[in-house]
Amino acid sequence: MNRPAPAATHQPVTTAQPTPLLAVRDLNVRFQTDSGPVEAVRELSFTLAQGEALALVGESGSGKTQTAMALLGLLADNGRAAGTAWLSGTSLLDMPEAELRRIRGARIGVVFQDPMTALNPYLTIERQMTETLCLHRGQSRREARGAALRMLDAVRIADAARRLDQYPHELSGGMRQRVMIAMALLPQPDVLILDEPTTALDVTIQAQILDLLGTLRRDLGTAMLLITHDLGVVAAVCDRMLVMYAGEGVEQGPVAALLEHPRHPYTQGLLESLPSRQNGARRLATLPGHPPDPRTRPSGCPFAPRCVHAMAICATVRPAWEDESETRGRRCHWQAPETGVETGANA
Amino acid sequence: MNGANLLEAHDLAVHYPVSGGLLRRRRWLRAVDGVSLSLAAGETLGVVGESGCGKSTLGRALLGLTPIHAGTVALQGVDLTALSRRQLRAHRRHAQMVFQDPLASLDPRMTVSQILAEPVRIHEPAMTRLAIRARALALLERVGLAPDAMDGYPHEFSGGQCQRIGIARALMLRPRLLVCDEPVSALDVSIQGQIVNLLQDLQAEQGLGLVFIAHDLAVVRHISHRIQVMYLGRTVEVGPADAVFQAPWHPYTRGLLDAIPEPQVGARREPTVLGEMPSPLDPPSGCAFHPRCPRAQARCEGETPALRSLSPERAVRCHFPLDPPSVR
Repeated sequence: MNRPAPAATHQPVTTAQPTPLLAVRDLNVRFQTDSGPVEAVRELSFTLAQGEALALVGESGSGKTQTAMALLGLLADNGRAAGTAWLSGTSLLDMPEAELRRIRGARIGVVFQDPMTALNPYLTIERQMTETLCLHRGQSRREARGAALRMLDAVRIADAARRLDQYPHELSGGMRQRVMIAMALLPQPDVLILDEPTTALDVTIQAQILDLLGTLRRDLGTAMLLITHDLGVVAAVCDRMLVMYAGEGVEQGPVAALLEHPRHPYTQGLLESLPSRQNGARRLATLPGHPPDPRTRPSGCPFAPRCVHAMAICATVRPAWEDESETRGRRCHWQAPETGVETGANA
Repeated sequence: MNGANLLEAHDLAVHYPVSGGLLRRRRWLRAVDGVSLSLAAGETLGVVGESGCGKSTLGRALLGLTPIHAGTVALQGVDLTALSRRQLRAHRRHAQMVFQDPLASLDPRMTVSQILAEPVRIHEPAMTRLAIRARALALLERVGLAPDAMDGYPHEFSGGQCQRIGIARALMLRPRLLVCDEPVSALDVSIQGQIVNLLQDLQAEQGLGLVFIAHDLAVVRHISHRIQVMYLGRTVEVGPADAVFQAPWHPYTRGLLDAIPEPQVGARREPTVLGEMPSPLDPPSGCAFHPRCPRAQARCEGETPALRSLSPERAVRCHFPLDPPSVR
């Protein structure tokens, strides 16, 4: 079956909600480098509904972090974002820097992987937490301190009053990440973007933070965009996931459905290569080869050189995005067996 | 060598002096505090634990790369702590290290062929350039790189390829033991398996002993014959990998296993290990794990448990081990 070469614009997969909180359509992120332009993100579309948690999943170089950076207006100087991104009626991509900064603090909260680099080492926790509230919300210091205390309680930091007077280096890594989450949630944002929030943490601390994120979702109803390489983290926190490879969205759907019945060969290979899924196997199943150099992108499907199902067409024609059901879609020429497409409706 | 194990460590202690505080008191950070282990040729020992548990320091101590405060390390029957500096350097060739960050562990100004030749030049000065090159080419091929990689510089390779180069470098001296410190943690999942398979194949071919230090329990379980779990510088549990993972005896081991997020919806469990790792400068009294332990009782605070062998192959440092193992 032949499909048109330049992928047609696709309709984002939507869930039952009428208007999504965040709608990203045909996002492209391109960097000008000494060795020519690099396309970090290519025709990426997704939506995030009120109170929903969506995971952007991929390995290094998949474009997941640059997607978040584009939404936040934090791309490096040599980077440009094209396409559209609407946050309930506000267009994020063509907004003046100053206004975007305001939105970033108030309507989009961010938590990065390494809290130490995101926190100012010279300011007390109280100063860092309350600055936005005092500056942008016109709250008094006393009001802001009260709000910060309540939020530290919400992220289960014991002895919150004492912590407010401490500096970042006096807190453990897990505690700092709780502070980051509290700080991001303080202005009651519509969306919380979490970029590998537990990757730098030890596994017992990670478990505590994942548990906390689940509780916060339940209690506050904040929508979350979680960027991670860890499918275990996805399963613990998210409803839906979008798998990225070499800057493209390759498969999307409810988490349970995708983990049970992946339909893109990359998702399948990724799941099969998890050691936790191959108990007793003497050799680990692996994906052969490695991701393409973003400067020399293959003309067809970027995954084709590593794909077990690759056909002649895959080397030359880039597959278009196709919605396979109400909730699932993928970008692939290969006709996957039909199992599982329908089971995904209820995650 | 009278049939001794490839590697034997007894009551190994690595303490670092730390000065500071109001009175400029000299204190000791007990990074490794009385750890024993053994490893046979062809065997893999997985050393697991969270940051600050001393697993990386232990790895360095096993190679004589850090001063040992007390205890012994015998490699092929030779006690490293009894050797002169020069003897140690000569003996150390039998044990090599594979590092976490493959790119950072390779000299950026050297070509791959120079990187591979360097250890041989030091330890086998009599070897000709041609012979070194032949050995390097054979190893490059063995780790899955093309011969033209010889002329490349580290930055021209991907993370997985750099780790292959790091493994080839470690094998240039034909060691008997490889200490791998988080060798796949910096790599993508789809690449990790390739490196793990490579290490296992090399072990099977050459009868290498592997000490595999990692925090990723799924990878450790796959590659290890035996597991040693560490907490705050001490061994808390040791035993065959499958037995320990199926039915851990120490509450900390159980907590580590429970904490792994499974890629499966509905698999999430309540965290069982609460709080955070205490400072190794100020370890808790009694059992160091007791402040975080769901099973802790009064005795745990006052009395330090010994590492007890409860079966020929397994040992646990706990007053109240999970026995019989609870059903998952």
